[in-house]
Amino acid sequence: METEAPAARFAIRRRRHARVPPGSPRAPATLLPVLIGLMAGLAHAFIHDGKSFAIEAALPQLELEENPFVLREEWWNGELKAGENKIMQHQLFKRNEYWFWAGGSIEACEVSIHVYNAEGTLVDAEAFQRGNVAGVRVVPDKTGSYYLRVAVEKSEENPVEWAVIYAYR
Amino acid sequence: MIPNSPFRIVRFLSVLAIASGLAAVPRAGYAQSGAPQKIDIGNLPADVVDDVIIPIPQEIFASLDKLGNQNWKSHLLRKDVDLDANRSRTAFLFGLVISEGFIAVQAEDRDEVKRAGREVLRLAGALGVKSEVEGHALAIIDGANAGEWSGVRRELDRTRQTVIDTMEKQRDKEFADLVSIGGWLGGTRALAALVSDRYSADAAELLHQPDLLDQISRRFAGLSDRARIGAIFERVTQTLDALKPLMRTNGDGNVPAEAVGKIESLTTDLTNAVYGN
Repeated sequence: METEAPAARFAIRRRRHARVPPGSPRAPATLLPVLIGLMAGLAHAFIHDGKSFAIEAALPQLELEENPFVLREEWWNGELKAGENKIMQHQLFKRNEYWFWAGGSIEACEVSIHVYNAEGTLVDAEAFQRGNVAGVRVVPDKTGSYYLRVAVEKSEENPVEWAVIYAYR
Repeated sequence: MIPNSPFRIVRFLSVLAIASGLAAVPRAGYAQSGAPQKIDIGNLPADVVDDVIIPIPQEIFASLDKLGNQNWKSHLLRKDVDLDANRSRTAFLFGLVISEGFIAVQAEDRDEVKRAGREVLRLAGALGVKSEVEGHALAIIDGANAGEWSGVRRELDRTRQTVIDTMEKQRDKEFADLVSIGGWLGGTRALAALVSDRYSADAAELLHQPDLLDQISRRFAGLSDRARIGAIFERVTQTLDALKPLMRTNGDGNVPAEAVGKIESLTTDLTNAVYGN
């Protein structure tokens, strides 16, 4: 698993969207490479664009006025090229309801996520796919192992860093 | 007005997306038409089972609570932690204490939640991750004082994840695994005890975790000798092996009452052995 620093609830920071505020002091040119290296290291340690996109997609379910879904802190991630998929095994519990969200790090890509039961049958209760984010809701009828299939359907750049987060209630 | 914090920006974008009809609205027909209706579970690559996220106790407790009120208070351990120099045991205890925190939240027992918060801090100090955990531990204690149970649950999961992430960053991934396994053990002990109290097939089904248990066993077996110092870890192996046939459903699709009783006994014995008191 990649690591992430403790942060405020659902805080999202993107390296691509980082901007220097107007009027900020400029670093001396000699220090610039050092600062860039340091910032790149920090960005790599703390930020995952795919996860940020996934969290954005999750917000409506996490902020429901009544009975919101509870986001788990642990998450999956990896790299896939267009046309590839990855399957993860995961234990689900009957009577709970789950949402899984997948996010791709590149906006010009298409990801999908679906859930299968122990027999390999699709069990999505509902699903959506919107460019580089996708989500699926599952209401398991049995307690046991289920299989998440995340795929990069299309992408202009390869590979795509993907992340999958989930929440339950 | 343009929002100025990252969180506000996300909210702002979400609202815009909803307003423009682009939000995460389920479109089952679209997605399901592109998804394979069936996948071949029998031929999955090995990394499928190497990438398992162990559920936190709260996930399981949430399901159990839907079957009616449970007597959570009666299954709080109320144990003090005796620390020693064995870092592996400390990591395992950390997971156990986090699970105790979840049980105490279920019981809405402020004193026990605060005790868990304090123990979390002490154990984090022994593991060398105190500064990373301090804020979470204080939030747990403050949340308990305020009775904000959902916030405390969130902080418990964050605490667990922060310790795991920090240990992985420090190249202590094996100790991070012990935190996860300890948490699973603590949650399973409480679950089995509650199901034993008032057996029902529905509740017992939550103990049907054969694949997860296999994964936990493999993860534990894969730890180096350095991470399994002490006699206690031989007991972990023995207990995981003994649990395997019990955490399966029988021919009727149930985890029988007798198996639940044995799961409770095995997990309680191991928990007591890890606490050492």
